[in-house]
Order: sequence, then C-alpha cells, then structure tokens
Amino acid sequence: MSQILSIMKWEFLNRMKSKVFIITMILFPILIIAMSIIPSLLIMQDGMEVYRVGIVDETKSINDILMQKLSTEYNLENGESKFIPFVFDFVKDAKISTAKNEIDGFIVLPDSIILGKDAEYYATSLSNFKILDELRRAVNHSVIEVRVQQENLEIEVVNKLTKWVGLNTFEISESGEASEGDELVSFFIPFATMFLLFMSIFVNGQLLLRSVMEERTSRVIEVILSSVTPRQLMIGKILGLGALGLVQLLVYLAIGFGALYFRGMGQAIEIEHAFWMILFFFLGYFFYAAIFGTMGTLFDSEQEAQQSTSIITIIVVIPMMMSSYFITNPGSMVTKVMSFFPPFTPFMIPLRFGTGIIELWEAVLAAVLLGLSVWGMMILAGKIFRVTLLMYGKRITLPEIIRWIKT
Amino acid sequence: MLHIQSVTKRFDGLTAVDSLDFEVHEGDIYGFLGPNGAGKTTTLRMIMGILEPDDGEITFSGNPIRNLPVNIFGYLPEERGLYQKQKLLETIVYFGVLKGLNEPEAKSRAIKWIERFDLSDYSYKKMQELSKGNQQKVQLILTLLHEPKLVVLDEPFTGLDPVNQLLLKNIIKEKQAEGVTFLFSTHQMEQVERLCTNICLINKGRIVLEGELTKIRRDFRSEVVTVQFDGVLPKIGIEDFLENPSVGESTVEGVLRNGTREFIKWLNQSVEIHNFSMRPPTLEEIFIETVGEKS
Repeated sequence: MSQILSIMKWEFLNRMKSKVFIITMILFPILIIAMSIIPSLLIMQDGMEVYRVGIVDETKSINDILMQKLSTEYNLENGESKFIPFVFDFVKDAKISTAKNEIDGFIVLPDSIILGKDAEYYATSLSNFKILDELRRAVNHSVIEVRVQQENLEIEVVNKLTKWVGLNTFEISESGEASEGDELVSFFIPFATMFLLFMSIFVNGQLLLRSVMEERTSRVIEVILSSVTPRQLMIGKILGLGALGLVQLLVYLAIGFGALYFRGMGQAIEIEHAFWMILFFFLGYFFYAAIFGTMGTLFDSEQEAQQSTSIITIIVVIPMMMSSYFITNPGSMVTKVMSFFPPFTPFMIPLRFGTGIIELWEAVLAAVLLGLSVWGMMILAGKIFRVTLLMYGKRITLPEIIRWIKT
Repeated sequence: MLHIQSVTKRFDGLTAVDSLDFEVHEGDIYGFLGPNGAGKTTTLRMIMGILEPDDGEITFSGNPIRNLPVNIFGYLPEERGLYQKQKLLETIVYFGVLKGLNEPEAKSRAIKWIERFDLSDYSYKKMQELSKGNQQKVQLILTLLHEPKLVVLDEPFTGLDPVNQLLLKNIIKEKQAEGVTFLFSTHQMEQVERLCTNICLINKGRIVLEGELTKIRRDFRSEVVTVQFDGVLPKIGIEDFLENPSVGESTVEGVLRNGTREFIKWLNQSVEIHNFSMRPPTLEEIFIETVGEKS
C-alpha cells in the first residue's frame, strides 16, 4: 500500500513540478475560450472593408431602389457606406468586371423577378455569409417595394403590417426558474463540458502510456519490478496521473466558471454538474487508463504508440463530431442510446447535463454501466500487461494477446 | 540459504530454464556463468520474483521468495536504465522508499553512497547529464541502499573502468564480511576467479558445472600444456595430442588429450623442447571447452 502511494506521489509530483505542465494547464482553457469567442465576435462585428457590388437589372425598374438601399442603409463603423453599387447592362460585362477585380460580385435581377423568380448573385468569394444576408435583405426589400408600388399600395402601410416580430429566448432550470437565455452559452456550456472531459481524460491517458513506455524502453522497469508487483506499479501510476487529471479538470472548471461569472452569466453555473463531471472524469479516465496503460506495454517506440492511439482517438472523436447534433437534439433516441455506450459515456453524459435534458436515473445507470466496464477492462489489462511489461523489442501479435487473456 | 529447486521456465514452447538446481550459501559470492542466451537473466529474474517459474520453487532461508519482503533483495539488472529526466538524489531516494525505507533515512543513506562513489557534484543534476559509467554507479547505489541480505548482480562489471571495477570488488568483499550474500553473472572470468568461491555454469537452461571453484578446476579432466621449442612443428598431427591447439612461432598451447609421454615423443621427432609446463585450466578455458562441447 505504501509503495502504491510512493509511486502515485512520484508520478504526480514529477509532472506538477514541471513548469511546462503548469503553463500549458492554465493556458489551454484560456486559449479554448479565446478561440471559441473571438471568431464569433469578429464575424458579428462589421468589417472595415467596402464591398463593390454590381447590379444587372433586366426589369430596369428595381435598380434605383436597390442602389439607394445599398448605399444608404448599410454602413461601416466609420459611418461610410458599406456597399458601392455599380449598374451593368449585361451579365457578360459584370462578369468581366468581376474577373478584373473591379467589383467584388454582382446581383442579377431577372425579368420575371416581380412575379416570383429568384435573383442570382455571382462573386469571387461566397464565404462571408453576413454580406450575403445583407444583400438578400436589400434585394427582397427592393423587390417588395416595387411590387407594392405596382399594386398601388402605400409602402408605409405594408411595412407596418409586415413588421418583423423577434423571438426572445429564456431558459428554464430544473428548479423552474426562468432566466434570460443566451444561445451562445447554452451551446457553449455542453460543448465545453464534453471537450474538457475529453482533454483531461486523453491528456492523462497519453501521459500514462508514455510513462509506462519510458520505463520499459529505458529498462527502469527491471529495478522497479524487483521492488513492487506489476499490479502495484500500474495502480500507483493510474492513481497518480488520475490525481493530476483531477487537478487539471478543477483548474479548467475554475477558469470556465470564472469566465462565465465575469461575463455576467453566473446563473449558468450549476455546481452539481461539477460533481457529475468529476465522477465521469474518474470513470472515463479509469476506462481509458486500462487501454492506454496496456498499450504502453505493447510498444517500444513513440511512433508505434502514436499510430495505435490514433485509432482510439478516432473512436472518441465520434461523439465530439456529433456534439452539435446532441446539443440541438438532447432528447432524441440517438443521443440517449449513444450516451450509454461505455466508450462514449464519460463525454456524453456530462454533455447531456450541460444541455439540461437528462434524468437522474439515466446518469446513475450510465455510471453503473461504465463502472462495470472499467472493472472488466482492468481485469483484461492486468492479464496482458503482467506478461508484456518485460517484453522488449518483440512485436506482439493479436493471437498472443488473446491467448494471455484466456489463461 | 538461497535454494533453487528444479526450476523450469518456458516461453512460447521454448524452454529457457530447464529444471535448474543449485544452492547459494550465506555469505557466499556465487558466480553464475553461461554463454549468451543460456538462461542466466531469466533465472535471476525468477530469483527476484519478477518472473514466476513454471515448475519448481525458489526459497530463501526456507521461505518461498514471493512471501518475503522486497527489502531482502537487491538487484542490478543487466539491462539497466534510469529516469533520464530526473535528478540523481531524488531518484535514489524514490527507489529507497519503494524498497521500504522512509524518506529521511533513504536520503541520508543516499548521500553517503553518493560520496563513496564520488558523485557528489551530480546530486542535483539530471541523470542524462551523467556518463554511462556514472549512471551505472547510481544503479549500484540503488541495489545496495536498503542493505539487502541477498544481492543479485547481472553483469556488474561491464561498463566500469578499472578503478571503479576495483571499487565495486572492494564493496562486494566488504559487504560479504558483513554477511551479505552475492550472486552474480558475468562473462569476465577473471573477475569470477578472483571473487567467487562457488560457481554454476549453465548452458541452454541446464547446469553444466556446479560447485566449488577450486574443486572444479582440479577435477577438470584435462590439463593445459605449454611448450616452448626450437625448429619447425609439423602442421599435421598435433591435433592428435592437443585439443584446440594454438600454435605460435616457437610456442604451442592446448588441452592435453592423452598422456604426456607420447606427446613429448612426437615433439622430439621434429623440434627441440626448451620448456614443457602443465597447469590446471583457467575458468575461461573450462567455460569455452564445456560450452563448446555441449553445443
């Protein structure tokens, strides 16, 4: 027992003492927060660039209104007009101009647009969806205005009648309280929850793999095994790096909660989620530790190990890739069923807590299922690594592994 | 004291150690010899409890080794390594603690050993900054720090310069005087001849020779003959008298096959003998002949 503690302490302290480890631990969540917030802030902000847009109006009746709307209704931060419209008679002229980079793109308003045909837009780049949105709005408003005129109606009356109604969003917590919801937060929290668990489980799982592999390739293992049993060694390592992972997770949570609080979204914090995150961190970490720890005994080089861990990473990335589906459909059968699949459970149950759509019994059942899988994985791992710890430079085949498991 | 009783170990159908039987007595320095791949390291690993024998039993003072506390044994493996990124003193203390010492005790002992091995300047240096020989000294400290009763050394002399080989030899003798038992494997036969009282020579997992070194040398059936002569020795015929003869300009040496009388008679036909001497074979010669013969 005291030897397990010594190994734990050694694994934990050696990494905690490393400045690189501490710096990356703190920098990492800050970077993630920055990465998730900055692009959305940038997109929402109006750029400083003027957009030159051509208009080919086959009806000859819309371009005046459209030109006026484009040049007066959309402004840059400095107050200047965002769009500079140019009128073309023929599509081919507009195309040449675009190719020469005299304009950034052009709108084609076909003859029958008043009767319901769609407009067309051609440009060298279609990636700025905010510009497209604004052009779509300007064209629509212009066409509607022309239609209204042709029907001899008052545009002010029509505008009044068709005034857009907004949809303000509120989130109801389990206690029944309603709070002003923020779509960014309600998407960001479940995703961040999943991502933090992924990071803390995987970073420490890989550390475990490397730690085992290093002891084998450097042959330190021989001296260690004359003092402790393979089981004690593995337990000590797994617990030591698990403690390290817990510290990481707590730092992440503190930074995450701090960031939410600082942005005035303190109400989004629910302390019991932290409890579930920590529980599923441990279960998930033990599950993957059994795999990574054993892999550390199977490979002799970083390269080989990297290749095989990438297979596991691909499996685990599946729930990450599907996360936006899970977040937008938290009550769907697919989400529910996948969250009970043990390799996914540690990431998906906390995500579901983040969305708020989960029953207590589901979380408990998932924890029990994952707990049983951890137990099974540990037994399997134990059968393999007690044989492979001392095998160097020999490529181990799958049939061999199966034989060791059977004995 | 240490009793290896019909121990067998197989790996994937290959028998690495085949019903091995020998005993090491308290205070012995026991030489465990054999060519590469003979099963030495496997045997030593089984003694250290790192591998389990498939058959047979290993006992220490009558107790099965797996029931004994780990601090009874000290082990210097042949394939030795250290944590390259860790500092010297910390590493020694860690291994001392794994062997059951408390931290302050491990530290004070570590400092004494570090001084003895002249490594004080490196106490707070990372292991990777030490030369290979110095790292091996650290390994030796790890082996001895917890004052084990039985010390198993797998090729302890390789990698050490003559000064440090002497230092190690002195430490072994000093610890032996304190009642520590040593079991070591080596290829350096002269070290065995200088240190060991008893040896065991194994080949292909089986014992070939075992017992007191002086007795083994005395009982070895053939003697080594060295002849100094003048004249030209015939190229053909000498092998009828000597095994593995090494013929020089004016000397010839080899293990005598039959009587001396016939050999001298044969020599006198062609050369003039200056000197004819006989001695018991060295351990190296016994090793080469025995192992060569069996394989």
